[in-house]
Amino acid sequence: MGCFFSKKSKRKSSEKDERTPTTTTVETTTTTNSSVPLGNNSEEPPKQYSWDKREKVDPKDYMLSGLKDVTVGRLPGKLNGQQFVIQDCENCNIFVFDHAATITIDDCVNCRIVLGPIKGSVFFRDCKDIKCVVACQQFRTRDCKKMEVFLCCATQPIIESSTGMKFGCFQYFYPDLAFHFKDAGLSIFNNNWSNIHDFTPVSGENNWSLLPESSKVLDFVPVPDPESEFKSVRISGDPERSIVPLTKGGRRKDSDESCLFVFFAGEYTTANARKLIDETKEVSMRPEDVKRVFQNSADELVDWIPKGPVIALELSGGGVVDACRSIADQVFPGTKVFVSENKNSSSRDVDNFFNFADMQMGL
Amino acid sequence: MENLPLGDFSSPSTALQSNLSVTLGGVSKREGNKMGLLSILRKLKSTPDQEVRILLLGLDNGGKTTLLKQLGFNIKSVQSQGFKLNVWDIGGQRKIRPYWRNYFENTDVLIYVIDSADRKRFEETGQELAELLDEEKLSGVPVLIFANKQDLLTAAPASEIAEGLNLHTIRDRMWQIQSCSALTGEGIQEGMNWVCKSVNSKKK
Repeated sequence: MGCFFSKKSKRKSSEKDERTPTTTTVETTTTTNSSVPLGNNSEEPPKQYSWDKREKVDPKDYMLSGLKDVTVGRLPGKLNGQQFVIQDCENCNIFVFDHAATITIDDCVNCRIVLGPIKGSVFFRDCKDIKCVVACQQFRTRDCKKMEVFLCCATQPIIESSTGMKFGCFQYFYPDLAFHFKDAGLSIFNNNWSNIHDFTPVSGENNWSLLPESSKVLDFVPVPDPESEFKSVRISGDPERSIVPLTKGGRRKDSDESCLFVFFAGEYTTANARKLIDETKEVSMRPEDVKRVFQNSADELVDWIPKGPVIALELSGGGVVDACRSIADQVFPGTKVFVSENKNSSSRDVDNFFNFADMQMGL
Repeated sequence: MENLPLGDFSSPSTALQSNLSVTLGGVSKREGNKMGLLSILRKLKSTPDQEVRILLLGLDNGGKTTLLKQLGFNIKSVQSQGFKLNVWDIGGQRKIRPYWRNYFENTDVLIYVIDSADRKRFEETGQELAELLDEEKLSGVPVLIFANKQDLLTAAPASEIAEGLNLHTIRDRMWQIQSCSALTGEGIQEGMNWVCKSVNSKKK
């Protein structure tokens, strides 16, 4: 067949070629050439789709390419859910303060990057010495080296042919960020930041690890230069203000006692819930699931299920069940919640719920 | 096979291979609303109990699993009498592409998915497709190329991809390129119609 796109006939090796360090030009042809055959046994002419009818754009407006030593990015409202491409940047501070469809980051070195919530995938390739804050549905890397990522990811993150990768829980705040999460369709409660799948593990070594729990995001990715276009964006790195609640991930719990605390849809105070959060999941339940998960309390809770997804929190610490029960009474007296009865039943409550949630999210 | 992830449907880590099998027959109301799949399967006017084996390949992040979701394949597919559509969704990471060849045998049609908006990887995906079309065990197998992610702003149109991949030089089998968005569903039905047509032609 031969491929016009390919520059060499052999399978691409994993070693990088020498690259000329200039800005990369991108083919901007987006017009359809009707003389090109699209098949060898089709009779119908090709249909018109929504993408044929939309206004043509210059791909360069949705790309940062070949930049060095600068602070760049997009202010809120300036990307608006579109695709974004970052490539060949060095020693840059890159801030994308808006939601996006998907973002690829190629051949970047020594950059600090904040990416607003991404509806689809984020894919880092051939990058080195990156510190970033990312929220996305899928997180992928290939051929990357030395990255520190504060991550919120709806699915299991994957790395391939990458080393020195470190992960921590997403911590970030700017005023529009909560809206951007909604726009991107991402739940702040479903964050698989700490269980990474490595497609190329090396025996005797770890290609990835977790950042120390005490890591502060602004030590890795400082706020933008106050003279930059981003000075109007009020950022906070305070973990208490983070739009995504900080979770411990796979880290060992400090205590053996756990409690399941479930907020049913309709009435909850997210800010209060944040303080108690350890692990969270947001998922829809059916009446039969309720019975299995909540056992004795099931009957009174079934009616609440059709109202919407539940938010379940696993909290841990000495005396946590008593604390949760008294908080439920005092702070949430009018709110429909489920709280574990006692510390003997609580670990079963937690297992039941999260086994159920994991299965739901796997289908 | 080493180190295979237990991915869920929307996760990047498709287990090395997911074999999803749908049997048309007593289709539930929910399935019936997936108009694409139902009408597609009806078009496969063949004798009952025929099995059609579809191999779904492409680079990682191309949208293969989203495509399947759009077609209505899921683990809860209804079992009933009728004919069987077997779709093999193979993970596309570079490391596991050597395993693709384990699935070539007895393939009735190849569906190859391309991320039309990832120009950086056009060369790589062209290379993989070229090698597939050179494979003895896939000789003569019709190939549908989905130029996916057309919903993205920088997506190259199917004609540009067809040119870049030199598809017009394919002489040894039926082929078709179809622009689509697995997310919105546009273009999928047209592609699957061609798949059915090509399977029927080949089976005669």
